[in-house]
Amino acid sequence: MTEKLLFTGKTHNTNGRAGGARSSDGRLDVKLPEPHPAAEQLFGAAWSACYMGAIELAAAQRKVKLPAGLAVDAEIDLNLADRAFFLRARLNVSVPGVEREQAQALIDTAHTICPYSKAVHGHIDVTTTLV
Amino acid sequence: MSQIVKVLHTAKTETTGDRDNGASRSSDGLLDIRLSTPGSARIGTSPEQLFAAGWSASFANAIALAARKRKIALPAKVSIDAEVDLNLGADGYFLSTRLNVRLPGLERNAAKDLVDEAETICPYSKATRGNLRATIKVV
Repeated sequence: MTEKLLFTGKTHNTNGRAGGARSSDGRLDVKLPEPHPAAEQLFGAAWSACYMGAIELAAAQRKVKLPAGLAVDAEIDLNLADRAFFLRARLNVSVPGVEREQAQALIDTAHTICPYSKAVHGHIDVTTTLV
Repeated sequence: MSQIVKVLHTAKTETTGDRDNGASRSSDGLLDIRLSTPGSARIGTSPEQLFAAGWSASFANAIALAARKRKIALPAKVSIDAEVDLNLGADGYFLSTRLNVRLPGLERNAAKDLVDEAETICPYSKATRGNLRATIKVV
């Protein structure tokens, strides 16, 4: 199978007090004042959104019907140890209306589908909890 | 030996729906966005735009830190153009990224050194090392 580029997100980012990020299509336009917790919020939102798409895909593959109300609460920690920064993540996932064992299988499989989970695999601690 | 870890901050977001038809909000309300399929009529951003913005913001801080260490005065207008691709290949979905860094007024080699060091500082560069194609350039 040849590689296919599905989409490119483009942003222009500036620093300092008046810093911010704007996407080329203008659909994302956020201020990033310093010190900003924004990087972790943005990553939490990006990962969660894509991860939920992966849960839907996993459900479709297994022919599991997903009722509405899927939600992910993400917490991304920025940590410092030995003068080095690193990330840690907790994803609390609710999959209402799906039997627990089935839901657990879906959220596990989703990590093997989601490109954000794959991008950080092995490099950050991720705790995924079915709530 | 256990390492002393200091949590500098925790970002909390709640996301509902999905990447084509969802919404995400941070617990402090500073981030409050809608998600939509790129190019669709629905107003909203995408995970790739969010990640491009998040990584760039963190990378800009890493450059500032590297500059402070080397006692280099940074130009007022540092900017980063980031592109995050969502790709589909034989092993499924994967990401690739390009960060084009502008450090106007800084000598090219000095700028390149800062960017190289920032790659070792930025937690997003570290979190994704070897797992995605990242091209980081001074432009």
